[in-house]
Amino acid sequence: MLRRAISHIGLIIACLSVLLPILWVFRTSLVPEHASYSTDIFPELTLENYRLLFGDKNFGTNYANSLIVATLSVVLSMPFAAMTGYAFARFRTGGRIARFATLASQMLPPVALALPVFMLYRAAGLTNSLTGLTLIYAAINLPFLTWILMGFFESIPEDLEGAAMTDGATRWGAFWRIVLPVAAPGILASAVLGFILSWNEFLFALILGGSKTATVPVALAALQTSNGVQISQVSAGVSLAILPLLIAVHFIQKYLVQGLSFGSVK
Amino acid sequence: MSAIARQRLRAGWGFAAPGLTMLALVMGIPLAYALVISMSSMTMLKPALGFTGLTNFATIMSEPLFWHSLWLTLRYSIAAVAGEFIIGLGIALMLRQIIVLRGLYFAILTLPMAMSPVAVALIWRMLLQPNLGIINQSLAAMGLPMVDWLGNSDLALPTLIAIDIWQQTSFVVLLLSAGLASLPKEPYEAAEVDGARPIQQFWYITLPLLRPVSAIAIVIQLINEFRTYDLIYVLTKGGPGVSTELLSFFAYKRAFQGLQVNEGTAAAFILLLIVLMITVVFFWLLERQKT
Amino acid sequence: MKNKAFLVAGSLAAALWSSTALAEGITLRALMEDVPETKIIEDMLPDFEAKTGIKVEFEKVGYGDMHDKLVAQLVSGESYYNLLSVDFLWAGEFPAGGWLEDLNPYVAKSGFDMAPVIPSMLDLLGRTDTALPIMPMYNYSMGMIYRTDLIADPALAAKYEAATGKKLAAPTTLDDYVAMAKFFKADGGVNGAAMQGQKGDPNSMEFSNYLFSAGGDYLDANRKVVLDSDQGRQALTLYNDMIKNAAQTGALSATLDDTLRLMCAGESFSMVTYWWMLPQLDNAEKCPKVAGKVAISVMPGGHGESGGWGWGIPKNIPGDQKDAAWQFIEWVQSKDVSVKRALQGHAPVRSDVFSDPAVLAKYPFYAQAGEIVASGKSFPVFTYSPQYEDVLGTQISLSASGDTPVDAAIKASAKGLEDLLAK
Repeated sequence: MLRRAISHIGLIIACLSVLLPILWVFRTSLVPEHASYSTDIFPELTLENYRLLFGDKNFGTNYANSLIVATLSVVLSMPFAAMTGYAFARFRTGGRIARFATLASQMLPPVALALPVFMLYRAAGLTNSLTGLTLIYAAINLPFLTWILMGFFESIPEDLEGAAMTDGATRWGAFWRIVLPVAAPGILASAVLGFILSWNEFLFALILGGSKTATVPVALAALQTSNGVQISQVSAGVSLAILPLLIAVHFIQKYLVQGLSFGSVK
Repeated sequence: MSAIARQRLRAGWGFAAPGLTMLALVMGIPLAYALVISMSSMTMLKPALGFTGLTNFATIMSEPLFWHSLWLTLRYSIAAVAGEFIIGLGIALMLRQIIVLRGLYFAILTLPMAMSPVAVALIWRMLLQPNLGIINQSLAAMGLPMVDWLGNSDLALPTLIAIDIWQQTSFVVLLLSAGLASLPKEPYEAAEVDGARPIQQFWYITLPLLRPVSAIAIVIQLINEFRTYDLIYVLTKGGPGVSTELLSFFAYKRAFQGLQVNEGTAAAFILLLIVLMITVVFFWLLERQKT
Repeated sequence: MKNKAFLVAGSLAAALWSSTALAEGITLRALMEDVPETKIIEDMLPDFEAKTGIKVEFEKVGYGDMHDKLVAQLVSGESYYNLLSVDFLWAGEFPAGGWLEDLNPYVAKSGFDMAPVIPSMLDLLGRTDTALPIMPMYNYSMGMIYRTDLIADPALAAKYEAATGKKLAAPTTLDDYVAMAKFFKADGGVNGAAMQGQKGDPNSMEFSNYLFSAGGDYLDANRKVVLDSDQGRQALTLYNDMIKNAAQTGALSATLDDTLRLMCAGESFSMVTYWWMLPQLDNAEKCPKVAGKVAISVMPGGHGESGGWGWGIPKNIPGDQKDAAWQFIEWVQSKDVSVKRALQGHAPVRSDVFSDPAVLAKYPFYAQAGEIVASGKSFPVFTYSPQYEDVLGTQISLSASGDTPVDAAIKASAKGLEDLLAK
């Protein structure tokens, strides 16, 4: 009882520290630029910032681009990540070297890869295209998703598949029908994570893209002009940018947060 | 090798081959190219690739600013990851204790990671603006002094760490919540039967079972924090003075400002080596603790 | 289920991808800053297209990102951007990399009249005896914007005269400026100056004004480093004094955005900045607190920092695109189009535009602007100018926060410049 109360208090404090800045951002999105730093909550209400974003700045295209690339890159990388993660967890394939080599590809600051990727992609004709971006994002997601899923698969006892296989299932069948469903929370978390990683990526989108293939982060970064930062428009962009995650989390949260009554809740 | 072992080996490679091949092609080739650049004489002005061996690495490591950057980056990353993990674990555990409003809390708490680092930086720049920003204005309204968050060389780095924690904790919450949701019921049921108290269940069942996911969350966050760059670029450009000159930013400046792509890339690879070493040591320690 | 979604998404992706394929005819593509200048030209692009059939696309990116994106395109292969907008700070780097076409042959062939183009702008943008890599586009020289109402305030004037024995008027020397700014912060209820002290471009640009007005310089006529001088040390001492005693809280992390907003909110007496910030501030809708109460003058001491952008043509594109790019440059920098741009508020690079009666009628302050541009001196323009901004900016930042004494900072800055020039 007391534990529940304390938890609520703790969670409320945490939520406030997250929510207050975000609400202020949302407020700023509805305020004209010259009043953006005013301390009044609503010095003037306007939809001008949203109108400018979608009208002048093509934000609709950027948003669509981001959605397409983020979704496709996850769809592309998840199967590979799951299979490789399973191999690493169950069979220790490639030993420590393979595991760390996979992760090591992500340890390099992206800035070192910007020029090589750009030159290779230009030679392959993949610059200024959503296809190219999807491909590089899938490759960026792969190591992290592999490791996360590896962690989840490791927590699943092998007896489950063992039982299925003694009943006649193939390894693949056991993987597909027994392991994956049990690892559902991990898979959903990874999918969300992969989506987010692609949704937020900036450097490759900047270097590999053009005006028609610009994504949300590139669009928002461009609002830092030599005339000052268009912070009200940035706020509008950010308010819209958090929507996909909000929707995704709403759908998956019952898989992630439910079923936690392991006797500690009374 | 026994038949079963051989079968497992084949099965393993069967599962892993597609992913590893894709990675090798799409990531491996650029990585190899980058490595070649780091050992070459390539600059933006003279892009020819002449082999220079380890000269670039030696040059970088002979600069005091490099070591300063490295030290700053280590402190930054460890502080950020520690903060994110402890707070993230706390939040994930608290979410377990309640039923009402759980969905709402979770939705709110995972929001920050939905913002790109550039956006987060711009937003916090607005909030922390020393004269006009809402935080300092609120402090002033409460009679407290206004704080020079990013212009004071002692405060700048901690402020950046706090912003990073603000954003990245949501990722840890997501991961650890999924981890907690995956925990099997049996050990807990058995413990209930044996009359174990909740705190004992937490210490002897939850924490150990959560280890794999926790370890991965920590490692992934460490990697992310080591590569921190956008926050610096947007908020401080490494200043005031050199108090926030993190290594990723150092590498970027060397390549795109100093035009020495070879040296910038070499600095980046040194970063990679260090992160790799820390990761390997971390897992080695974890393995030893297990036995 | 998953497959179907993939198919739909895949076809969407393919459709979007194919729509980015090259259109018929030549399209000029340029990376541009998102500033009023760009908008002014953009509004006139339909005229150009009607006249020549050449389409022009502007892609707007932030300054830093623009440089990195451009360099990646220019280093090798064929550049996607066939019309270049080049900042003066890159006017050493781009020619050094061999990335820009010499514009002299194009000028000669089409008979473009170079006489009205202001010489200081041409020098700023890398013109040499043998080549013209960049054609000036617009300038952003720096001056001092100040509050006329505060100067005219009798109570403040009395206090100032009592404290210093001088009359309260727009400062003409650097020492006067510093004294006045400190006075305003101490007794006037406003910050003395809104300073952009963030290390790098912001503080390097601002400090340059102090340096030039103190009588110092970075390089002498033979391109020898003369920064380490009494004037240099004086400039940095005054600059530090300003940061400590006249500037706003948090000046060391402030950028143009911060100083502009501060000035707009009426919380500062002055601001050393780009001269076309004046119309932004003197705007009743955007800055009601200071509209009608601001004016601009040359940096007290007589010399401010020059700056500007220009047009360039990349070498690594096909010949027909180069010709199209020149056609555009010729059109946009012609007197006719330049005057039209100026009437919209653009910052000219042609002397005949600064003295055009229609322009002066609409913007009388262009007379001062003309002086500012003419008297401006330049930050050293060479291959590593941006890197020097970082080196110098670091030293200034360290000195202003008290971590490094003035002497050491100036010496290190001078040495840094020597090292980079020799690189």
